[in-house]
Amino acid sequence: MDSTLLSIDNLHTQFQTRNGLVRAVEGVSMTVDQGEIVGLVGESGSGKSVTARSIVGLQDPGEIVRGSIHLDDVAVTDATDRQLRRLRGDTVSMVFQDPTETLNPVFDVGEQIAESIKVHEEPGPQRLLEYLHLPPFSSRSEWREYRERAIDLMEQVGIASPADRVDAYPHELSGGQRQRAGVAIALASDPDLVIADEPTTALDATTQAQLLERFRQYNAERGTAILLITHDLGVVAEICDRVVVMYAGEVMETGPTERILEDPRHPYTKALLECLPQRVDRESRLPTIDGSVPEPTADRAGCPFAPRCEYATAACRDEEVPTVALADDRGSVTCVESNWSESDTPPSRTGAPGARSESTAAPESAPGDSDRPSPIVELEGVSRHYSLASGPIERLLGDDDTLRAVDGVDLEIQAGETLALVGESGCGKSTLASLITGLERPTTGTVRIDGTPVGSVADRDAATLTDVGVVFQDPHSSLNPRLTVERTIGEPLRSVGWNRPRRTDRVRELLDRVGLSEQQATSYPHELSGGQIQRVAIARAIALDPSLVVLDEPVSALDASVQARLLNVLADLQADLDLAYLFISHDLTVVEHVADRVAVMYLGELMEVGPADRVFDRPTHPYTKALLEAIPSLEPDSSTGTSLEGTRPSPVEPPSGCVFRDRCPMAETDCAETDPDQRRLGPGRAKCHFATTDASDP
Amino acid sequence: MIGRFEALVAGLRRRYRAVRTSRATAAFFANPLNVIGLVIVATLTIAAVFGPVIAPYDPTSQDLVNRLQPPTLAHPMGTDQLGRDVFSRLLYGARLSLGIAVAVTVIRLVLGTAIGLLAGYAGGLIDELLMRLVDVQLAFPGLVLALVVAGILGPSLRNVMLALAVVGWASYARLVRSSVLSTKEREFVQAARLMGVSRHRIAIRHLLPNTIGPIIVLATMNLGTVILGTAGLSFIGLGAQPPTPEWGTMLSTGRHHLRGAWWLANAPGAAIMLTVLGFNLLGDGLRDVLDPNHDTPLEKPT
Amino acid sequence: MTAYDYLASRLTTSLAVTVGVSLVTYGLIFLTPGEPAEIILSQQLGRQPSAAEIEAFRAENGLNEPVPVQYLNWLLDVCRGDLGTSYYSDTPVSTLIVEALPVTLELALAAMVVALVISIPAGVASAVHQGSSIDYASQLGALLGVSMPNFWLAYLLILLFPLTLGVFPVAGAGSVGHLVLPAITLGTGMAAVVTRLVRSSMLEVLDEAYVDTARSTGLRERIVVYKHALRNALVPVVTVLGLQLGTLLNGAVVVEIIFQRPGLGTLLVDAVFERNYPVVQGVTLVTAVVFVVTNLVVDLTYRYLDPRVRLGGETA
Repeated sequence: MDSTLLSIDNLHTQFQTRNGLVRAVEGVSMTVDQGEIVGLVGESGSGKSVTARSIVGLQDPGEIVRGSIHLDDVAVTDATDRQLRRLRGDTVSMVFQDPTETLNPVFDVGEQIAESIKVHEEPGPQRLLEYLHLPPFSSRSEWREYRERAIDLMEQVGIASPADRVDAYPHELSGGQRQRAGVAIALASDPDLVIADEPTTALDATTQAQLLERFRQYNAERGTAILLITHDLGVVAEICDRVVVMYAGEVMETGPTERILEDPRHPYTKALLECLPQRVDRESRLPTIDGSVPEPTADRAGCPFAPRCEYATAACRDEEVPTVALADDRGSVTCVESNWSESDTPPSRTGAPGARSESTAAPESAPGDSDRPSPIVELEGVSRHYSLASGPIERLLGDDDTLRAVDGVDLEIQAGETLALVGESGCGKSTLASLITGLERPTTGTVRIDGTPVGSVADRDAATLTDVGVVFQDPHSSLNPRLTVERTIGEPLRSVGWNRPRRTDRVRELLDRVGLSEQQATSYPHELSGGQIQRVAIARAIALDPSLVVLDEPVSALDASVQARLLNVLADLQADLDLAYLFISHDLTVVEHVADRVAVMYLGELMEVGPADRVFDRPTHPYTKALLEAIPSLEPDSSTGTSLEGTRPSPVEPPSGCVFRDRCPMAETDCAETDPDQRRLGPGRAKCHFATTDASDP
Repeated sequence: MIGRFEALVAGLRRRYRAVRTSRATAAFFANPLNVIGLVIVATLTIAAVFGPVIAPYDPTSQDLVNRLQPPTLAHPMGTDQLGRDVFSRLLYGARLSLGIAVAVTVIRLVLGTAIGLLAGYAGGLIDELLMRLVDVQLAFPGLVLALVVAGILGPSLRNVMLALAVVGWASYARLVRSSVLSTKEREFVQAARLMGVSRHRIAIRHLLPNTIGPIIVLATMNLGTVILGTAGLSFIGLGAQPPTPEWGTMLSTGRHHLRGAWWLANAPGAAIMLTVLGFNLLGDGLRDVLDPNHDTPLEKPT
Repeated sequence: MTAYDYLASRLTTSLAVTVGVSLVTYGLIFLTPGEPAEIILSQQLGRQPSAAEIEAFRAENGLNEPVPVQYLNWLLDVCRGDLGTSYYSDTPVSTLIVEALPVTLELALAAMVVALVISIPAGVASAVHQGSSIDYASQLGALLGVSMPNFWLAYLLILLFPLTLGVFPVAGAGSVGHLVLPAITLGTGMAAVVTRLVRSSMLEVLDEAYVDTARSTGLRERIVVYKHALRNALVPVVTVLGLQLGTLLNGAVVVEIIFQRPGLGTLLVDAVFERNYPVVQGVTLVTAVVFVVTNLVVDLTYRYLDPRVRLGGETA
């Protein structure tokens, strides 16, 4: 076919590790046509990144042992170094995931973009001394010209005031700007194909929406094909024409985005779609996929998903699985035919055992009732400011900048409810949590727990400390690597003086509650998966029967299927133990599923607080609206609404008046002058001059 | 009592299982260099412990008839200018060198770790003062200061030990402090604080164990450095005095016979080098296993 | 924290450290077993002094003052450039040091050149060809270099070059030929340390995502390695170079004695054996101050090399 730009045929990429051979990619075949946007989807460990890196010849230290890759009719797998360099300079570019690591910290962004342009424009031999800017070998005017063009590119990818930023070093830019600079480097060679490896995963929702919009525009204007690698089906639905679903190094299913989302044929695709929170009603259990991803070093036969598949037959486990093409260009499925064609509605999913109630109990008394009991936690005008003047000269000059991490927050948490705290990174969510747990002390204002004002950890009595449990975000640092699971969970019990047998019994009970087996009591953290570590952290947090658990992004580091199981565990615990949760997250789809009430934070202030369905269905604050619009929708046809313009101002110099005004579509002159009050609106409140409810609102 | 004992046994068994099955141990033995290091250090230790039993001659007995004999079966490394057996002297020297190295390293380690832990954990003014003290110690090139201290105290092995101990603790203090500071910020320590675990227990249970790996690595490498330093000071004439069979002193005497009796200077030279090499190899291997910052986890690409 | 703040605080600490160094140096004399005045006097006179002589000496040299006052007097003199006078030659200590310092610096500089010329290419090659025979050879060489006592290496070199091949003088100073063997002796150890460092630093950097970004634009591997990776890998190396100067000064003592170079090391060792305290104090102080200043300079250079630190932008 003439229009085929990239074709991969039966690709096998392997890694030699200490633990044995890792078969990262096992027989992947796929194509990308000119001007097409293709999504490559899979959970971590599915081999999607290795596939992408193999395409540009960056699979090292892995090795392509079988199969072929053709890019613009050049066989990448057999290409010489020179051919490969030309391909990278002309035909294909790559955008990598983490914007904090993909730019070279010691060169300014202009240099890095200019270099990419130069590589593209001058196919001749690249001379080291010229690239090092050594005067006799390198022409200053030529570099200056490339820098000028770098500024144009920066403008194209949406970096504001590019002429000022061209000399900036990567660390001086925000995450979103860095990622845009990364895109500029990729686009500098005017490629036919851009491979973007999780380009928006590390970014905030609103930034993600802006960047995806750029990709779509660029694709429409230039006809550049895009291979988008992601774990997020929402992102796929947003911009992809076609989807390739990978699992354990193999392609499970391919097809047009619409067909995949609405009529998935492969059991894995179905299961993956079903455990997304946005597909499930609030307050009902999330379906899950039992079992775990096979060890990448294990020998295997048959379909890799068979051990977790409810339709699996003996043939699936032992025999070669055929790839079946669907009629009418509707893609292909790698599955034993009988499985997917027989029925469209699968039997009841394994994730919803009958023993437990189908719907997790939301607290019976909805918050907002007039006769509410006294809350567990009350924040009254709480602020946390940090002084930034650290050096003697700054102090001498009285140049006393303060960073307002949390500013004038009023909030309460009732017994048994889940209060979700949402906002983009750096908005002060975690600081607010630390004020409640006692890791930080408020600059002004009062924190009350059970009606008693409390200070930091050192000032709190044992009863207050045991009343609040904490689960942190990062599975790698939340457990002491040198303690066993048993000791970790037993530590709070020990600190209140429980003896050994009593501790052992309690630890056993807790392990059972969070769904871990007794054998895991003697494991060390490095022997556990991310999901298991979070379960241990939860067990530790509830060990002393707290009435509130602070969950700081507890599922953000986990894959969708693992995330669903953990959210179910949290729901069960809440129902059984009458826990209140402060659930901190940037992921609104998760929040919508778990929250009873939602508090939205921006630049240290609460923008809107209200019951979850109310906030999600009828947001009153313009910032909440913008956040909701930025969520990638799973409906293939819908497109994101207008996303927020500009970047978040620094919390050191917030705008006058309303902090949101310089990005607010509704802002007027009044907003710059007066800081709006919190306005009560029915069961919720919002901090905006124009906060109104829809006409339909009572 | 019996319950406690059983618990202890169970704990030890668990530890042993963790060590035996751990990837770390396997990784350590997978690298031949690490094994060579271990073998050298083990051999040296055996030589130091059983030296007097193995040694064919008394290290100080002179035999002026057989002066400056080249290596033969009777004298595998020849004899020196006074007819003493070089091999026997080397064996006795191993005991001296290793003993001094261990003693000096232990003093440095205990002193440095205590100061570092205190500075990192207490913070504030105490931290500031202790760290300035560390800075002052590190402002002197170690051997120069040791030389001056040993020289003023008077030439003897004991004084060399003292001098070397005084000038080497600061790097431990720095290492422990920075490790404590970074561990203190990790989430599991915060979690422990929030659960009301006492400060004392946090220091013992959470901070120290996560610091110990890098310290062991440093100490292992340090054993080699101390051996070099002792030999260097003795070479200059500040340490062991003749007829003590000390490697540096032997090398120093041997230099007068460089042309005629090459083995005199080169036997102790090679002994020093092999020993230090052994500790360096072992330290490298331990670093891979114990130091989480340098621990290269298996890359699991997605 | 701005660059000026950093400079100010760094200068303050360096000054504090220098004061600490002077205290230690002055305190050294109290380590002597016995009464300093008596020992000094017996060294000067070459016999046991009488009680009257000691008393006169104490009065003359202000030794009857309280110790802090003695220290301050000494410090004031030092600040004026007066480090005292050698007991034996009546030469001012400062003159002795000014004569010896260039000999040592010359050696240290030459050793550093030897070290860098060997270590940077070896370290880079080792990292780029990780696991190859080049890598093993350079790693093994580095390990041997680190473990080799330099006094033994010196004899091996003497045995090989002047004694067997008849090239380069055995001892002395003054010509370039005289510098070759001492510089190689001293530079090898440092080369070994820096090779290991360059290798590990380079391996770390080559794993960074930005190296892949550079490759993905179609740059030649040579430019990726020598422009993008090396520049980053050298940042930690520079810090260590400053600390390595201390090692060089340590080694210089032994090397100068073996090759009979009239540098600071020889001066110091002779003074230690003669109990020539003013010289011991002077050389110790100057060595430490040189070391402190070098590390200050290195620290500031380091801030220039790494823009993340240069602009004081500890990013959150």
